[in-house]
Amino acid sequence: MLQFVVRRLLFVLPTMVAASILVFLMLHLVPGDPAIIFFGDQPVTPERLEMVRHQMGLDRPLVIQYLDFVRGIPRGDLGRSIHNRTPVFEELRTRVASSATLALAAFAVAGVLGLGLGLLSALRRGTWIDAGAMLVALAGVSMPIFWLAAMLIFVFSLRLGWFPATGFGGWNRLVLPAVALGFVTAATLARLVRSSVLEVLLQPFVTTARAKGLREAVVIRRHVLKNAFIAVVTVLGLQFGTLLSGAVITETVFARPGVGKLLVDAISNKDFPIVQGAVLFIALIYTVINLVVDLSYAYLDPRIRFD
Amino acid sequence: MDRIPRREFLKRAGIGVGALAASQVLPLLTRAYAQGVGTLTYGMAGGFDTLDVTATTFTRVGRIALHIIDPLVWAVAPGQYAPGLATSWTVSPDATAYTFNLRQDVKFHDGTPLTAEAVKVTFDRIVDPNTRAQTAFSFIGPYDRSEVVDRYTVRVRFKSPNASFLDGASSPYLGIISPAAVQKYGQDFGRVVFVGTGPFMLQSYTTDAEVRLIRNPNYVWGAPGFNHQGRAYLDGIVFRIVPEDATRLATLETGETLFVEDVPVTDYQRLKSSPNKVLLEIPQAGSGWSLMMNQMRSPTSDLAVRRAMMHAIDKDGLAKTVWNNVFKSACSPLTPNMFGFDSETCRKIPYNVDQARRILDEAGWRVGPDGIRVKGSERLRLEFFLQTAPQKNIEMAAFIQANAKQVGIDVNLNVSARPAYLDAVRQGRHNLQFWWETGTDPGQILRILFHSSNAGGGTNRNNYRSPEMDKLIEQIDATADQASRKQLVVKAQQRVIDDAVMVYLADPPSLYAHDRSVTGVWVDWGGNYPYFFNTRIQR
Repeated sequence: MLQFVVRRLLFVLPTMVAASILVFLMLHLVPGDPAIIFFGDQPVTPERLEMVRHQMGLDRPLVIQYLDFVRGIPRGDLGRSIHNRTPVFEELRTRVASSATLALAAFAVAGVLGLGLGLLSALRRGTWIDAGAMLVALAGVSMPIFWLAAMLIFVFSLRLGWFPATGFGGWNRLVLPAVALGFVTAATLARLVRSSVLEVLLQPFVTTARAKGLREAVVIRRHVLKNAFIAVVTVLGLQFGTLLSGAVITETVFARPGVGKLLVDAISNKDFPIVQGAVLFIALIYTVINLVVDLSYAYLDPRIRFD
Repeated sequence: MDRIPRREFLKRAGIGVGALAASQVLPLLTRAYAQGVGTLTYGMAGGFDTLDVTATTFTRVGRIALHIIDPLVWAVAPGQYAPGLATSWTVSPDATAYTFNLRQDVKFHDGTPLTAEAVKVTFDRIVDPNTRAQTAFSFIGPYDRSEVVDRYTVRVRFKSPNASFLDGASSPYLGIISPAAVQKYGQDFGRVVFVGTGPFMLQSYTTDAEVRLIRNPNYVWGAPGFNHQGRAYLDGIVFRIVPEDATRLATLETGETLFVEDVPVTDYQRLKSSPNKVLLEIPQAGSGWSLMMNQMRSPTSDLAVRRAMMHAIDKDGLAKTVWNNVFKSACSPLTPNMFGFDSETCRKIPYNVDQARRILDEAGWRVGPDGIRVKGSERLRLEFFLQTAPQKNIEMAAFIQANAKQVGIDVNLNVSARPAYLDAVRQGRHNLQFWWETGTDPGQILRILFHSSNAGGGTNRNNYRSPEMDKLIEQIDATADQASRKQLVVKAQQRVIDDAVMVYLADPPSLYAHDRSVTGVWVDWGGNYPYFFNTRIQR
């Protein structure tokens, strides 16, 4: 097991290097000069433009620019934004906390709602409960998140006044964005849980467990859920990564700072160091999540061993 | 009495306890977020680059910074200035030297005194290449150097006449900052600290989320123009960044914010008639929404095509369709509240489809089989570059496209993200692009739009090069006498209309809304900077 973890951790490094090179090259291929974007619609002379280009380090060969970036990483130095010269690490640090809080809360909403609905509809297959739960799930996957977010604000902030409309600060500011973000994930999850559980329910070992006289609750918990979860956990892991880095719309509607929004802004400004830093962070998160997911397989299915 | 099974009893008890808990907790949640009396929360429409007002390019930073710094002078009306940190000033006859006498009782938030040296450090920093100043760099114009005459007297010298310098000095971007703090914090100035002499001090800044200011307890140097000179009435101001229009408006309704900027025109009527809210509508100074026409690229290099475009666009229709008549149709490169605005311009270019067609006919552009005009082998097709946001851009462009088609001009919309858009228009690959400019000095606006030094990739994306116009703009900059300056500004407006340089579309107001409990909000005449020094919240 330990050997497996170490081996996987060693894989993190090349993954990150590959991700950073890919992003670096793609950013340079996309049209748009960061110095021109920096000045936008402000008056600028060619000399000043050239000077800023030099200050941004854009007049150096691409390889040198990339190596400079890589060199700082071991020291925890991800460079500074070429636009406002804030350290990239600082820019990320201030947003990660906010994004992680939202992702965890949304994950909890998605987990409870998705598992609950999925399980309920699988166990009550063909009944109106099944139809109702799947209708909710269908609504969840079809609903644009900005619409859901706007509706939540309308009902729970404007009409009922239960929660604030903007989501940054205390716990009560977290509820609406977490529900908005979590609900969509919950819908996907519910459909997956339903199909996985239904598949497992037909397996002979479930019939055996029942024939042994086990209580239905134990059959479900110990035999059905554990087996159905292998597929679910894989999706859950990836969903967490998406919740953490891809919540741009939710962050915008509820006025929360976040990694996703930072990344989108940095891409449109062609702020290379920020994009690279944010992508590295997201790549790291995905790698770690994948590792955790892989390790969880061993718990869920004792036949899987990592030796 | 029927016996209730244990399971059913537990279920009912659970529901009862849950309902009881909800009934107790929900009222606590209700409006639990309403703010404390004395702190004004401001809903800001977006984030920004840095709090350092010297380096920023964002008007929003100016709005925040105006509370943290003090300007040297205050602009009270077009071309009229009142004392700020400077008690008096003199201007050399050729407008190349300004001497300011400073107040002697002013201290920065870090306790250091305001001296002539601080003014020099602030202005020198603006032109220092390392600062990469943008808006401030435009405002300071042809700055040469500052001379410390004595501890409280500073002389600012320019390389060429700069009659508009007081306008710049009244803007927050030229507000005086603490040299000691700049020295101490270096690149972190504006990121974690920002030290001025203003009525509020920076308490905290969370990027993309909020800026918190608290009252400066030592402030006794309020400008004489305001109704009191001591400390501000508010305990503090929180600028909360809420980019989504609907959410920002919702925060005003729920009381999370008491003041919001950038009210969408769709909410204009509702707020105007709301009993609990006040809508502030201030005509914006500068240049309204307009269309730049690139003279370096065919077919907009043809005067007739540009003149036809000026007559082909139904500006009243545009103001009504896209802007719900909240914006007014524009006449000139200057908004009507600008110094020297020429009202004659409104009569010069009426919406007249027949006239547009006639102009094109006379210039040899014949209507082709598909209704689009051609001349020789050239089709009358204009490449219109615009950005994906704001959405109103796209609505305006679609309206213009339909208007142009009526006279046989094919307008092709190229909607792209900011990097690709800037690449295209700076390189001059466009025929048309939108422009909008805020500012309070006509000379500065005209220079940005029409001076040949800003052509070829700069802000004059008309790529209009006229030695006469350059000379006029330079004269405007060099003329301190208000009457003569006005004549020159009028002449310049007439000139660019005769040369059919741009199409002037719509003049916007600045729209803010606040709760009725908020009183004493001051907004500069240009409509850009709400100022809360005199503000109170009446409960």
